[in-house]
Amino acid sequence: MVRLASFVAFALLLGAAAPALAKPTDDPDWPCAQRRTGEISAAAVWSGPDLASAGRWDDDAGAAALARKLASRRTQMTEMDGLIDEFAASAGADKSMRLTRVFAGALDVINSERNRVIAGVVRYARGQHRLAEKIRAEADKISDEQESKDVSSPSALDDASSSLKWDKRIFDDRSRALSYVCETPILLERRAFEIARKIQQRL
Amino acid sequence: MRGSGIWGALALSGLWAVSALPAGAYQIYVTNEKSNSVSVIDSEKLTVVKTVKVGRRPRGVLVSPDGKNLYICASDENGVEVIDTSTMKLLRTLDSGKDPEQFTMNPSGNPLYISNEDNSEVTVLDVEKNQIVARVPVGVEPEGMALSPDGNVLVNTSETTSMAHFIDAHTFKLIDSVLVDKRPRVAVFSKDGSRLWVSSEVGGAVAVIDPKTHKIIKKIKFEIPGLTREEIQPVGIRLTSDGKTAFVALGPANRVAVVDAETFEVRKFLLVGQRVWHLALTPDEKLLFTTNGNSNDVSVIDVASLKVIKSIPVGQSPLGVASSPN
Repeated sequence: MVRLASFVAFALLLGAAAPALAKPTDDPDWPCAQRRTGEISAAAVWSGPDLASAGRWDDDAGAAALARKLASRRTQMTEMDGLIDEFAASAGADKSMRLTRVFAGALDVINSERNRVIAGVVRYARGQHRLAEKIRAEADKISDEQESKDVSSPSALDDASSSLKWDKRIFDDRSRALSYVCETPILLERRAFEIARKIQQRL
Repeated sequence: MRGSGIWGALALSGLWAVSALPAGAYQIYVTNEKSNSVSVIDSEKLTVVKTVKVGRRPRGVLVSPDGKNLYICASDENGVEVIDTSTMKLLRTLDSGKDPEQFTMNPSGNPLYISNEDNSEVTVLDVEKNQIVARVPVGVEPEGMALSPDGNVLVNTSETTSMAHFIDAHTFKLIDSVLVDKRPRVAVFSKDGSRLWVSSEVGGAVAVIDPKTHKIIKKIKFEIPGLTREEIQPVGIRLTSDGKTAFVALGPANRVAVVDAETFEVRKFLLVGQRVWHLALTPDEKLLFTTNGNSNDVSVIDVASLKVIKSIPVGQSPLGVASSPN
């Protein structure tokens, strides 16, 4: 009966976590409802001049500085127009080429940031799997001890219950944070798209 | 909320102003799947003039032929909501069957043909009596709905079964099923009824079918340098009434393809917003509106010049789009 109770508690716990883990995917390391996709390709967001023929963006200090600024999540989307206009006004004769470099640089920076985030999501998912295993083991252990009616060390049982309670709480909190974590790659894609759109308007 | 009467009156007078605009201004209705709202765009101002709350998970949207009623598939409410377009107030919720996703309407204004994503059925609904006339079993995950211009043939696409089902629109018996590429989403008849266009999201192609013989005449593929095949996912289709041009929304390719509807050659790709889903032409066919699900905006394409002229921010995850008929 006790085992059943702990099983029910565990099932409830998983149930509570279910919204965040909804839409199981083929990839056990990918907990998000949104599909895991590769790098943002330039072609997906850009229909301007060829990036390679614009030359290396990191050799153009001005373009590189703006690229990093635009790519940074600290820069508000609303600030972008002003920043790009300012650069375009002082970019000189090869304005289009230099703006193309700005986009190439911003895309590179965003893609490496996005790779980092995605790696983080995978670590996060694995951590949750491990924690789920631990909770399951803890719940089993408690019910075993309760069933064996070995009350020689009630404090040990209390400790185990408390540990289980904490782990459950951490698990729940992390599950709730998951939707935010999963949104991050999408927000970065949106940023890349906005930068591309704003730059193309000025070519 | 004691002042709501005044605000309501103000909102109403604002709306009168909108409807009093000179001929040529249409209302474009956009369902925002995640904000549970509809954005109303004025086709002359090219701005959102009103946003109204609707039922949960609004997806399919259409306007009655007389322009008086707006129909919305509120998928998570398991109903179709009817909104008065002059006040933008909810009139009633119709019994649509489970999880309505997309639908089409008889040109007479009744009935409504609804695809029920969750239970593999097409529901035929009398909108005046709010009565289900027929339930037609189709393939798994039905989605796209189209009625032939003569009103005789109903077409439904089923995503998982990858078929276009031809249904007799009078007896509601299945006539035939045509296998298309994976995950068919949208079906559209040409104005003269001689062609049926079906987009396949995962297959990355559009099939052009002869509705008489049920044979595929042409499969249109899309190639964009620098993009993988997986990134090209055709969904929304719109055809101009002269039968010359087709527009195909390509999902995560963030582009709309412009296709010569006579030779089936892809003429151009227009970069719009992120994850472009559905399309709507104004009745004068001067403007094309696209819903961009990830960038939360609507792109406006000038049909004559084939240029993207504006991006209009709307709600979260815009999906469906429809234009008023007048």
